[in-house]
Amino acid sequence: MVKKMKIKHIYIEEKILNHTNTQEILKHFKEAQKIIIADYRDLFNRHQQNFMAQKARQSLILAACTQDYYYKASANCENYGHMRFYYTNVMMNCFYDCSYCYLKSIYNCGHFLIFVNNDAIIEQIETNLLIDPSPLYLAISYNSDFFAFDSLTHFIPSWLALAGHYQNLTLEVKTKSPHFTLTKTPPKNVIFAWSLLPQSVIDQYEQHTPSLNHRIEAINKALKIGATVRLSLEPLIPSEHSEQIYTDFICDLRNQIDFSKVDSINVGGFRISAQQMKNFIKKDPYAPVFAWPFVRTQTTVRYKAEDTLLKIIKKALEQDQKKTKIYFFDE
Amino acid sequence: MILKKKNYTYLIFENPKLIEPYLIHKIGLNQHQIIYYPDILFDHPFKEKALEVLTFENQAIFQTPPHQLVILEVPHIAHFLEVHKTWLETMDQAKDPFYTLAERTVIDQSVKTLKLSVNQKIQFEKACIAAKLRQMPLATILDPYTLMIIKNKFERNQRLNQLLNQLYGEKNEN
Repeated sequence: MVKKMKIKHIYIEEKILNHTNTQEILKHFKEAQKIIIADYRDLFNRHQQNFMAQKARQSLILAACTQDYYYKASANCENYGHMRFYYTNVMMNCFYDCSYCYLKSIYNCGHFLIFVNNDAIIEQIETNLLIDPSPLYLAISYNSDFFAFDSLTHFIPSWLALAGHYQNLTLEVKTKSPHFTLTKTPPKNVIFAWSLLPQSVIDQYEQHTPSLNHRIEAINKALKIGATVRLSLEPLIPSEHSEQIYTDFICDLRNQIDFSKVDSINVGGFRISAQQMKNFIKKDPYAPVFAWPFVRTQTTVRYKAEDTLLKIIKKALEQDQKKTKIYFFDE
Repeated sequence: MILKKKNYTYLIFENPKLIEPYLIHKIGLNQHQIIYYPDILFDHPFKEKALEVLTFENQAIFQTPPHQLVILEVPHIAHFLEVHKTWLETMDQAKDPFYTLAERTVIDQSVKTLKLSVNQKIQFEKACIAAKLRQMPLATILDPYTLMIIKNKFERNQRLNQLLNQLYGEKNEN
């Protein structure tokens, strides 16, 4: 994945210029222009940026996270029964260009940001969240594909060590990665959740992402070494032949992945708050996701066809419900 | 020198000591009272560097959105504009619009003939985007609506609903 990144400009906070992680990351982009900045917020948070133009020609920002180390997760996220559900941002934005991605509705900037002080973020989570022994669910890759870019950052081992140390912690690593390079069994409380959609949907809505087959290969490698794996079937997007496409998709997954070995499957539609939708339309009015009608419910904006899509998936997964935990996210 | 063109505003500094033009990716003004990072989201043939300017009065230029301001430092401005005429023209090229001219015309005409309210216009525009994204023949679908004579609100609402269903291809949706 890193080889595919054509980064021409790297903005680096002066204070982390000599940080080991900064130097390691810079080795991958020898040709890029390096621009020293005082504070990443001078770039990332400024107004009047063109998110979509930046996304099409991404620069990299290397910075230190000095506040807001973690956040409470939104009610629009599946919480898997966890009362303490948080997420953290070691990276902001993503190299992939998924048309449904909500990041454009929350960030001013489309450039790709990495907080190089990963260890400080972990320390804050230990000090402030893990001090409480009650179960904690922590998603570490909500706002970027953290795992797919581990060959760039090498941050994953520190998070695995954290999970190994705290049994009350469940760490969710959501990914579309085509690789699974870990050779030792990771702690069971680390859930590698692969986002999966039918290939025809990937082709239409997910630019620059690995193919479904490559993701399946990575899943099987993860299962082989005993990693905890979740199949994350979201966001469901309508198509001209939804019933056929999604039924075949489930059938293909079942043929290629041993469902009895996966920890769980979660299913959900495209959902976004009304305010986020407003920002989304403003920044990307002709995004392919707008090919289908939406409805506004009490809390979110969703596809009008969502119930139909969920029914199709429920029916297709009916035979798996006895041996696999399946979570359906509906209001 | 400030040069306003169609897609970008150019802020060009002249420095006879230079032997070639530079594109500026960071500019510090008036002893760092202002630091500005133009977003370089285009191809260019120049070397890049940061620039320090000790006194600069036209600070309002830095209210320009970062993707619309191009800052250059060149040995000679008139010579630069002549030599890089083609690059400047390329920078001014318009991006492909989402709709064709024919589609935009029938959309606007349909709004008029159907006498749509502001909210209905928004609904209709969303449905047009959906139809275009699904590669439906937008101009052909809308054409009959450009000739309709709408007598009252009931008729307008009825026609609009019929049109929305057509544009969203409701029957084929699933």
